[in-house]
Amino acid sequence: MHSYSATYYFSDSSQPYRAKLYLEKNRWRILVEDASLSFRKEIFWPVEQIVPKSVISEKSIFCFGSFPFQTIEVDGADFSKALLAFYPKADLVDQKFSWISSASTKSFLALALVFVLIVVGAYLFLLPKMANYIAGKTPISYEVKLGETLKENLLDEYTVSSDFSNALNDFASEIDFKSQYNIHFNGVEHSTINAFALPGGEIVIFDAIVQKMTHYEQLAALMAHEVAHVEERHSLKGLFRNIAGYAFVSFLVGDVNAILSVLAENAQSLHNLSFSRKLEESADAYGYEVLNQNRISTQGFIDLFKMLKEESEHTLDLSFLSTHPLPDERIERAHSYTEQQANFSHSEHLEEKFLYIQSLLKKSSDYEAD
Amino acid sequence: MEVLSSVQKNYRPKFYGEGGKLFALMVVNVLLSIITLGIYYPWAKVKLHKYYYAHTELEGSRFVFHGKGLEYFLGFLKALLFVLIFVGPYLAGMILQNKTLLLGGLALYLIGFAIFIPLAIHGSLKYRTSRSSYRGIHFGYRGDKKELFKICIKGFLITLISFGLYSIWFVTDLRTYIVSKIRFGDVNFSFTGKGTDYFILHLKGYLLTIFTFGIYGFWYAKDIMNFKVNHTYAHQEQNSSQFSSSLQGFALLKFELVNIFLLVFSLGIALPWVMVRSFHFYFNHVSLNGAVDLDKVKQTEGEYKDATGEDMLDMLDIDLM
Repeated sequence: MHSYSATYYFSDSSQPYRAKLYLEKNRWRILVEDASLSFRKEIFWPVEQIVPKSVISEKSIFCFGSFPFQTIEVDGADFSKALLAFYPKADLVDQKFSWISSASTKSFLALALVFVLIVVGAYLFLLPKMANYIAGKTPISYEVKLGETLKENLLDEYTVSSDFSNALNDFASEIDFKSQYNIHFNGVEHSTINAFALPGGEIVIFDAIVQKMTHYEQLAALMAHEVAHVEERHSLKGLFRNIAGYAFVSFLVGDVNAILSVLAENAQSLHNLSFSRKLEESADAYGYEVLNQNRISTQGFIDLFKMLKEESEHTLDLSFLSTHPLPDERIERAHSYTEQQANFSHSEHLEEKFLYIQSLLKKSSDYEAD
Repeated sequence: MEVLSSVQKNYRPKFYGEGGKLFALMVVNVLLSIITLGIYYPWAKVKLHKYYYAHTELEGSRFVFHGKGLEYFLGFLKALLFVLIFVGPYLAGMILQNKTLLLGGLALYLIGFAIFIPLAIHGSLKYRTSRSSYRGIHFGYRGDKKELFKICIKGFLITLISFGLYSIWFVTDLRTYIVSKIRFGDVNFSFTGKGTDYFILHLKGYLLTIFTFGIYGFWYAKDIMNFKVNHTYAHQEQNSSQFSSSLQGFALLKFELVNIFLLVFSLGIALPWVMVRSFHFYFNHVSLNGAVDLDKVKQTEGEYKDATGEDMLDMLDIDLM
């Protein structure tokens, strides 16, 4: 009959005794020997009273009786398999986790890969969906409040010109943006070529970008584009994605170390860039619709993009461009859209208001130059 | 004539865990913890403890962790109740902007904190030791709550007055007391480190770490570990053995650099392998040398049931060893 070599402890002391373990029906027969072979003792453990303590490949430990327990350590990689075969009904092997001791390195690598895929998948697909869903469910009133708070904090750093702002809003009143939001433009005096939309309807336009424009369709295109960001809740979605992304990444690596979180942060912003490119395209599409319905030529988009592209070639300030990438395909798309546009006309009103804005800006920059 | 005490024994632990298996365990733990919104966490912790114990070998025998997830979970609930009672009023005061509630809550919070720490240390040690065994012999902690309170209150107060300087003597006192109350069957332990020596070690380590732009930090960490280990003794009847650590600063530097490299380039996935490396590394540098005989330890400790302290320490993120 097959026996397993084991070590037996009588619970009163740590003295190890060499032992042989025989698996019998409903019980273990344990033959204990002193190291000097001066005594032999036969012990029986009824199977239902055996408590498995750790059943692992090299050495398994079982206890028996009441506290303090008698203990046996059994050698042998195949012991847990033998237990399952011999006592299929007894609860001697924690089957839920026994696969861990019997699985191969390959299967762990496979598991590692699956785990990585799940994590990456959750990050790339599930998280944005959830963030978008939450952004979609956020009431407009909350969005407006959030936007106001952001505006207060952001505009603190800039000089807001009320004349410029009024002129922008006057110009915008000629265009129907088809927005459920109360759109409000803020004109800011700053040498950076930039414009951005906050959640809830506040839009900030820097005077430098308007100064570079040559006709009103460009301004209309810029405004329509920014309104699209508001209407499609891009800022809110971006904000939620950022927060969720950071929370997720720091949950994963947070405890490990600081270097890792810096890496993770950069990965996060790279991911954001590709996200914003998608949003820009979507905002452009909305913008074409707005211009089209207001019978304004979408040539404004082409000229706006060309102007920005030109600017980017001889300026180092890329703050606008880094969030508004301008690949050639974006310009091409504007071209193909414009070729299809049949219904547009020149608007004297807009032209007039645009020229007024430019004269305002010219005056203030002349004033500064003096 | 039999001279038992002259027999010198040298014991060194060995770790048999494998990164791949530990990884599988951790993945299952993380997934189940996420699915159960964290409720699985105590069970996950037990699984890890069991794995570490079952793969740690000393003189051909493995350690056993007897803890159960449910015990941890109940301990966590008790700790939560404690926190709610002592922190709840303060939070309520903050939310309701009620000054009386806020000040009263703050006082209650501070009192709770002073009670909490010793209680948590006591409970955790008592639970953890009682759930650990080796060769069927149980560990135990026989500390007295009142004694621990005295040490902690004295320590807190003087640390406060001395702008934190006394904290070094405080932790030394705490270690001396705790170690003296740990039992492994009839084996007891002692810690002989002195607060002043520990202070000099910290002062030197701190200054040199600044002057060397952090590089000395590894030697500093080595000194701390060696101070703790080399001043710890085990006693069995009239025999004694000394724990000894042969850790070197350069070895620690190499070890930690590889760890950082592994973690960074695997985006943290190498964590289980880093854990296994750590066990190997530290076990390689620690040994128990002297006349204490692990074959002749007598069982002395009784049964104990309570896991409150364990989770309290976890919530506070305090690492005992």
